[in-house]
Amino acid sequence: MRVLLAVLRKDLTVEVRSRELIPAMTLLVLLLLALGGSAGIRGASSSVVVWIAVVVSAALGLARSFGLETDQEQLQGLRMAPMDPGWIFLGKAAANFLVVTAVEIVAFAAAVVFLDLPAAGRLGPLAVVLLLGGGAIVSLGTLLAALLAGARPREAFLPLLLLPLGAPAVMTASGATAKLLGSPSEPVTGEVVLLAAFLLVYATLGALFFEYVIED
Amino acid sequence: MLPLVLSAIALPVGIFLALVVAPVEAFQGEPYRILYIHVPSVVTAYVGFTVTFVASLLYLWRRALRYDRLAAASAEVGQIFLTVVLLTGPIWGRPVWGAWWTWDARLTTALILWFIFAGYLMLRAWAGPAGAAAAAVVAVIGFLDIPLIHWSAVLLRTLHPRPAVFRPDPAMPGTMLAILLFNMAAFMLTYLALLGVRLQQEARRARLLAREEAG
Repeated sequence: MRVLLAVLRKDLTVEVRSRELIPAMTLLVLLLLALGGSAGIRGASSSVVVWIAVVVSAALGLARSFGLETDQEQLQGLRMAPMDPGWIFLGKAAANFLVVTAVEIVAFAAAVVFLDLPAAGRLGPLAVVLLLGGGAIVSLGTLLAALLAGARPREAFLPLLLLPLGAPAVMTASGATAKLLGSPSEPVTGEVVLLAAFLLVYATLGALFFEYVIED
Repeated sequence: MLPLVLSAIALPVGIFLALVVAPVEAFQGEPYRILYIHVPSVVTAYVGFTVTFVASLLYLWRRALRYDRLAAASAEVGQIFLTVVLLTGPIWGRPVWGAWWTWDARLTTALILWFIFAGYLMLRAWAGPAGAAAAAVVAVIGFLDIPLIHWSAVLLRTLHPRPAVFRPDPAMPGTMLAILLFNMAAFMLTYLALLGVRLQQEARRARLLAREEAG
């Protein structure tokens, strides 16, 4: 747990000082939403566009967050530190989660303007869906980014793995979002349970496999 | 060699049985015959990916390159069969459902699985031997993703015919069932034959590389 907090603090300090990730990711999200809006996508069903924009920009940011680690062989340092790699993974994932959540908030606010996404509806459950969906995508994405940081294809490859592997989370999260904003009475319990399960599965797999992934 | 010969005999026989011997189905008419290719392909593809999953776990555990080669070869062959599934499905769906494609749970799962293993094979091609551990992790997540994709798609709705064979009381006349099972065996043989060829090629390549490095 102390390891988690240390890695989290390190990554957030880096982001606060360098301001590399959030501006680039936000820019990409706004760009994608503007393109969707100008093509005439409107209303609650546009929530899938928002989710795709979030995942694509998350792929960009996550890949970069490990690019920073490999630039100066810091991954070696992390690997050799006498700490449980599972906790290092959770620390990286927690930092990425905060970054992606910030981008999510901007994305949904922008969608209200660009895509006429209804701003009323069940906002409490919506927050739960955003956090769980974002958490699932980030856990999976952090593991995949770590895995690519050690392999030759590196950053460019991440979307090609994150989009299909994360497809169930994206489908479920955007389905739930469309329901919450579009039809006031349809229950989303099934989706919320499923998203929580995704988060659990991906975070567990990440903590288990991180060690193998940063090995060579 | 034996599986190659056997599958070269069994595949045409199976096609003949499917097209000529099998009776016509009462509701769907002639297009139903594509089932004799579609269903064996999907079963074979899932067997192939299961082998990849198990071999990838063994590779991560034991770090023996032969497991890595088995995982790669089985994924390649499985992907071919999954491609056949995705091509034959729409050909059947157009006359029977009236649509080439629907976003039914089974179709969605198969399509996303195809994208996952396309990414897996591309990662292997890009990363080369150094990416073996990375590829193994992707294969494990990809395989565990199958039920997750299915459940998330089930939350929508399902139109695909229900399984007719793998249940206690197969819902199919005897001739049809026998021909379908024959074709499944033929497809599995083909899988084994292709798998054997790929494994042999990769083992030879590894030996060559080792010799080059030594000399």
